[in-house]
Amino acid sequence: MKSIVENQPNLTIRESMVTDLVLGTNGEVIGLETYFGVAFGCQAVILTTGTFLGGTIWVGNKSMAAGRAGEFAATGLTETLQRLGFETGRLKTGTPARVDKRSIDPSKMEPQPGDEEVRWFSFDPAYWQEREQMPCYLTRTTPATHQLIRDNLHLTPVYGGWVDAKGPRYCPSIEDKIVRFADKDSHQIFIEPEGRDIPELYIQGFSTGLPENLQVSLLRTLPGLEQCVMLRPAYAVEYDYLPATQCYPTLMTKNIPGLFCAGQINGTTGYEEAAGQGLVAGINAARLVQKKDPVIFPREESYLGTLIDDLCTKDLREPYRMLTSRSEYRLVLRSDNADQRLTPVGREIGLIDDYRWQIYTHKQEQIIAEKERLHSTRVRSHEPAGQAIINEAQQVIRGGAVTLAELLRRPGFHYADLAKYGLADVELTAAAQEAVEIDLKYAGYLQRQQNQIDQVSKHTNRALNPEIDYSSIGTLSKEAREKLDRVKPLTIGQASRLGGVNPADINALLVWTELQQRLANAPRT
Amino acid sequence: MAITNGASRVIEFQDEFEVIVVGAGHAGCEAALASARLGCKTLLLTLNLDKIAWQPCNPAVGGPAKSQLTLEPICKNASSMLLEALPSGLYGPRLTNENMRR
Repeated sequence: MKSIVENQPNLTIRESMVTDLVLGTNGEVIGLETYFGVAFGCQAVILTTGTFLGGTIWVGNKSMAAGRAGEFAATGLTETLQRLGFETGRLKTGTPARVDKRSIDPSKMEPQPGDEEVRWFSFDPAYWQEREQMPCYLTRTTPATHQLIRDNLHLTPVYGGWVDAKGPRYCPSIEDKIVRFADKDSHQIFIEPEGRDIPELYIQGFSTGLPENLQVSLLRTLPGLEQCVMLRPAYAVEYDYLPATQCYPTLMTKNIPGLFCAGQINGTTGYEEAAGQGLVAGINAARLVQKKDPVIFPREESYLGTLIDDLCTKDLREPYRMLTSRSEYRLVLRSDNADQRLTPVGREIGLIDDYRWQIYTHKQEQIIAEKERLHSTRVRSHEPAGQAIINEAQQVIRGGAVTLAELLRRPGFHYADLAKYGLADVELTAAAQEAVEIDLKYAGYLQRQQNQIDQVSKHTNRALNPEIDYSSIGTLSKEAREKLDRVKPLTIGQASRLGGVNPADINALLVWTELQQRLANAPRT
Repeated sequence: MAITNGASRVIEFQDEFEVIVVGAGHAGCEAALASARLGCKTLLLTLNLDKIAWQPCNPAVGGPAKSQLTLEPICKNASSMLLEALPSGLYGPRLTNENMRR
């Protein structure tokens, strides 16, 4: 990525700390100033400050102004934003220790090899270059791990009480896991290499705020790490964020025209969440400058749209991570059709070049042609392929013939089976085969999802009794139970707009209220 | 160009851009690339030029929902995103990648 940004035309890179914004007569952004007193003019500024905005790192009760270990925090900008009327808050995250791979014993851990059949994030085959894979390893916490943590909880920033910023719920520190899931005797810990030719290992699931002098002893309670050498200690980091309800879904702030925010500054956690928002902010900043209409990504079209809709409408007070349950459209928002959903949008915006567009259109043409072929091609029971399908694949062929599409719709029958009986299009790429099969096989589920969505929108005015004890409704996520119990919403619609209450929770709540009503109406005996 | 900020100071701009991105993590890099590719004269400012698009925590990308989020920008943007060219897992692809190289 470094070389991509270094070699991008129109893009200049420079090391600098931004402390102030320069505003025009209408309160719009016209430039910014840096710590050492340089100013640059511009028409739009995008803030992507990560953990650096007012960053403080913590190891035990020792703290340091820093965005990451060994790197300066960005100071001054928070005060500027507050002066401009923005509400700011504090969030927290953490990272585990790094350990020298030459000091561990892999034979005491379970190897976790990569998939044999590789898949690719890129839709461009030019990037599909397979390299030798390295395994990760799995180990587990032991009674000694749990004891050490319980004995020293008071020395961690959160349980010692000197840091109260909220951390990511779905990426808890090891002490959080031991406190919150006290009934569990052991937690999985994954050991992941940081690179091919460096000795550092990432101890996944083991972030901690414990003092450095206890961290080595803690690591050494893990099987395989008894003799380990720690290269970097774990630490927690606290930073400033701007609740993103202060942004439009273009990620431009409502307060200051031309000022955009993306990433952790909007209260999210995760590289993917950050990158997606960066793209949206970059597109919309460019369109603002070029006096074009903003581009907003609807939530039914992408996780990116869902993420931004959630950020801008819900009052989220803890780091937001993307989860499939955040979307009520999760059967539609899949990896295999990401290109179908969004490449045309990218083309229209001007980010998909002719080369990429040609790859895309070719794949879509293949999918359409193949679906037509599958619908119109029949295999007859008396043909050799038909006989094989009846006898080997144990499929029934009623009325003497069946279309290939019908076969694919059946559970347990896959495109690979068509190939086995000589009924597949051998020219089709694996990605196109997969897209065709998913489209045909799950057509019924996709329709059902649409009906469910319509139902939820119909129920937004249904009343909820403020006496409901949400903590007793096991079908709701823990986060939803907490939020609902605190707010006690009066309608389903109000419940659905609460931060942390997912569409899946609303469905569960609808089912629950339906059931309660039926129980109440049931004749007493 | 010189302008006044508030009423008190005169500010000289050393250079003029259309879009300035503050921070060169994953949000900042995507924002800067999108802006530059759409034809805007763009400046990317970072506290540390050696840590562009760093992965300070887990050396991995993807997993459930996160993989869709990873794919979605790729589908919209010609060749950006964190790591384009690396293998991944099934359906919720997740990739443990090389964060650091010598």
